[in-house]
Amino acid sequence: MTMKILTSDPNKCNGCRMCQTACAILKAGVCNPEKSRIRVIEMDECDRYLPLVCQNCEDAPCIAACPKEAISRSYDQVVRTVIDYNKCVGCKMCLNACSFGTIGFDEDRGRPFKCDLCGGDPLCVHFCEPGALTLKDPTMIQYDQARVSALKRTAGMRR
Amino acid sequence: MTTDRKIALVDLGRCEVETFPVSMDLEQRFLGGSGVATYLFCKQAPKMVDPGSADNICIVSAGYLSGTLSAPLGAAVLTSKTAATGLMARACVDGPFAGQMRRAGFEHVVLKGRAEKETCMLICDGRIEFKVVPGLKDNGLSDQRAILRKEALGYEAQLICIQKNGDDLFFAADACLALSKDVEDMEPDKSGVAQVLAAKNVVALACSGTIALEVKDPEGIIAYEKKLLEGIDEPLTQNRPETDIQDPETIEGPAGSVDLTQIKQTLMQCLGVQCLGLPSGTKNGANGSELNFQAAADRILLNTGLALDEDELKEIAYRCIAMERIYNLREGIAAKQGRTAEDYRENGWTRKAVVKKAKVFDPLRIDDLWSRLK
Repeated sequence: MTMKILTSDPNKCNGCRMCQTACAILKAGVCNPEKSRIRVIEMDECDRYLPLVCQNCEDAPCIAACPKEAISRSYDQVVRTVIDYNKCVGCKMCLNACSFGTIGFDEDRGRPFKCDLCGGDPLCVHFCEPGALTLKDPTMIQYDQARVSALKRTAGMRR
Repeated sequence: MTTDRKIALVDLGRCEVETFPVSMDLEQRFLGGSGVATYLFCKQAPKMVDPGSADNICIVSAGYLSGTLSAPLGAAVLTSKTAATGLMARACVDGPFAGQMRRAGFEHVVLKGRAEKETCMLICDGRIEFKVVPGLKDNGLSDQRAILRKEALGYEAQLICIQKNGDDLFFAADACLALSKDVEDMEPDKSGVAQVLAAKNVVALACSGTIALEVKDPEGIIAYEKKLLEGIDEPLTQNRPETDIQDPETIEGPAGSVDLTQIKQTLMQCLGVQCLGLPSGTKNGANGSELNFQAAADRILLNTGLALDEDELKEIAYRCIAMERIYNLREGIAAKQGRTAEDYRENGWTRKAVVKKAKVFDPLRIDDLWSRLK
């Protein structure tokens, strides 16, 4: 069991939406971004795209909001929150509770859906040609960001 | 027999919309995108129509694979007769518009007539509406986008707008990849299609849709595209299929010869793989100038279930080029029209040689256009 986080870099994302299309086909068998577990948000204000997926929060609001205790933390292949469809009644409380808007609702099946990290090997990462999506160890995220920051601060310096 | 794909016939003057399904026969003969658009244009456009008049038609088409995993950003193709050459012309607009148009319920939108005031056409989940937006053309793309998204279709809407900079008109689309969002950095529309739309008082096209596009073999297409992406870093020379190297430079057919490069370009416009998001020449890649017929056939089969081989694909592209040229011959290629006319004649494209029903129209399976193009 490992703890991994799917991170997205808006500076690398080019808005090609391959991740969204691949996810919809894998999970729902159709090309429809509405059925995708990953959403590419276009931000007109700064001309950037930001792919968003379930952050698998430690203190997840969706778990707290579910009246049927259908959402729980799973520790099998990767640490993630999962929906037990045997308990879910499709009340949509989790959709309202999610701070990131990354839980969708399948109207055909009458139930919510969210990213399950494809069991630890997310398909969207394979389809992200610019490398905006990466699956990272959470302890390493701060080092990666610190390195980017350090490089900016030391730009122009030579040994 | 028909498919789920639809054509909308829009009368801008009367604000009326008629819809027709794309027949299986049409799909097999022309695939989609520029192929079906050329057929529809030959079928619908009045003879010797003035490009700036309300009688001229403009067809907005999504590619056959637009919105699928093979072409999530497949180019939208706009076809019309333009004043720039007096002949049929096309403009390709890359970006997510074409895929969104398919999800909004239409493969092809045929625009007829002229709107009374500057109009924005909104396509949303099988419906087509018209919104009068005064002064929209004078705003920048980001302002246009903000206005249209706020007032019309929400933040998931995709747009194609016509923008003016001095005397030049531009197509500005919701951008992706390296496409510029700044009108100063964009190339003016040289095809003249933007002028046709402006003459029809259509200043923007907006799409928003939630209709799911069926995929014939979901697992197969994921595995295929994943393998293709993994092959990007491999050297091109090792992966270039032998069939492409052995290809002749020209394709011969009942209506004369056509360059293989033109066949490939036409096929890309039919499929909507103009902007695939991958560098050209990738392993098995149908992209850029390096369209691989086998890869295109595989993708069509996995996405739609339509089985075509390399020769059939070439035949479809040849048919589309032949239709366009026959239309242009009817509209009058004169010596003064320069290089295009020279090219035609060099390849045996004269009205006397080409416009023959039994020798050309019947073998090309476009005999239903005989009454329109003779």
